[in-house]
Amino acid sequence: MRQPTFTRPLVLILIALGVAAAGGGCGASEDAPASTPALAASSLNRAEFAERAEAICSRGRREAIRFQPAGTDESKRDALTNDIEGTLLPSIDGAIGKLYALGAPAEEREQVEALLLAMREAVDTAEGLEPPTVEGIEDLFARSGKLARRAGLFSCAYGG
Amino acid sequence: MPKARLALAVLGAVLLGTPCAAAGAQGHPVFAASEPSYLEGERTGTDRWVVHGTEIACGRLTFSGELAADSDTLEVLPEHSECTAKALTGLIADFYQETCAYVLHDLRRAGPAARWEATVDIRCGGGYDATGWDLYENEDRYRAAHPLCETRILEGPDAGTAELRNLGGRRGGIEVRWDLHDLAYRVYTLEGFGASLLCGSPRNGVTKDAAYTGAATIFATGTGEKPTGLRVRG
Repeated sequence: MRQPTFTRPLVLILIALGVAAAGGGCGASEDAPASTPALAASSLNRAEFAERAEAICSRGRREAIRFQPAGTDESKRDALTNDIEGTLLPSIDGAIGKLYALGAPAEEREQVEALLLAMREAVDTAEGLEPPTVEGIEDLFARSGKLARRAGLFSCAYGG
Repeated sequence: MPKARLALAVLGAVLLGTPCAAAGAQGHPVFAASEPSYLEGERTGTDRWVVHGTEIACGRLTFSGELAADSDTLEVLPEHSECTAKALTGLIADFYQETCAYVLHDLRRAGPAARWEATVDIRCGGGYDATGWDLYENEDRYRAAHPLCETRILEGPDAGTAELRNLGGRRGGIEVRWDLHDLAYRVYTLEGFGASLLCGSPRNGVTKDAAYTGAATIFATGTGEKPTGLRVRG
C-alpha cells in the first residue's frame, strides 16, 4: 500500500537521526574516545582522584615502554618504529581515555582538562612524526609534562 | 699507582690492624685476610637493577678494592658494562662513572652455618656524589653522546644489606648476595631536571624506588698475587 506523501519527510528525518545516533558511536571506545569529550565531573575527592589518576598514568607508562626485543628478521630501528606506532602511542592514548573516563573533581576540572588536551595533542602530533623517535615524543610531551607536575600528577608527566 | 695504594693499605693495616684483630679475637666479626690485599670479584648468576619499574641488565659486572688485613669494613667498587635497559626494544644504558663504592659494615651473624650479614652504604669519591647511567635511543645517539635521560643513584648510608658466606678452602673468598632497595635517585633530561617517559618523573626532585639484587664472589690477593684467604672471622 502506498504511504501518504506527508509522512515521507518524517520518515527521512527519523532515518537520518538513527544514522547520526549510530554514527556517533563509531570508532568510540571506553579507553579512546574518537573525539575529545568534555571532562566529566567526578564525585572523587582530590586525594582519591590523584591516586587513581597516578595509577592510570603509571600503568599507561609501563605498558607504553614495555620490553619487546626486535625479532630476528627486523632491524632495531624498524623494531623501535613498530613499537612506537603499535604499542607506545596507543598505550598513552589508552591512558588518556581512562583519565577522561575517570573525570575530575569540580575544582580540578579545568586544570585536568587542559592537561588531557595537551596530552592528546602530543599523541596526535607524535602519530605524524617521520620517523617516530622516543626523543621526539618526549619533546612533544614537554608542555603536558609541565601541566602534569603543576597538577601534582607526576606519573602523568611523560616529557619535559 | 696500585703500589702506592697498596702501601697506603699496609699503613692502614699497621695503624688499624691491631685493634681490629683484637676486636675479632673477642668475637666482634671482621673481614680478615692474612695480609693487606687487593680485592677482585665478579658477579655470579644474574643480577638486576630496577629503577622506576624499568630493569637494567648488564652483560658484565666486576668488583675491585683493597683491604687492610683485618677490617670492620669492606669497600668494593662495582664496574658495570654492556648494559641494556629493558624498555621498548632495549635501549643502551651506559654507566656514567664508577667512583661509587659499596661499603659493607656492621657485620653480624645471619642464621646458621657460617652466614653473615652486613649493612651496605653507597659512598662516592673523586668529587662525585652519585652513580648511575645514561639511556640512549640508539647507537647513533650513543656515539653523539646524546642521551634520552640520565638516572643518578645518590650516595647514602643504609642502602640495603649484603648476605655473606665464607667460601672456605686455601683461597678463601666471600660470596655476597646484594639486596639494595629504596635507593634515592634523580632524573635529568637534556633540558635539565625534568620528566622522561623512560626514566620517570621524580616527585620533589628525588625518587626512592631503585633496587639492586644480585650475587658475587670476592677474592683477595697479596704480594705476588698470592691468595690471602679472605673471610669473615667472628
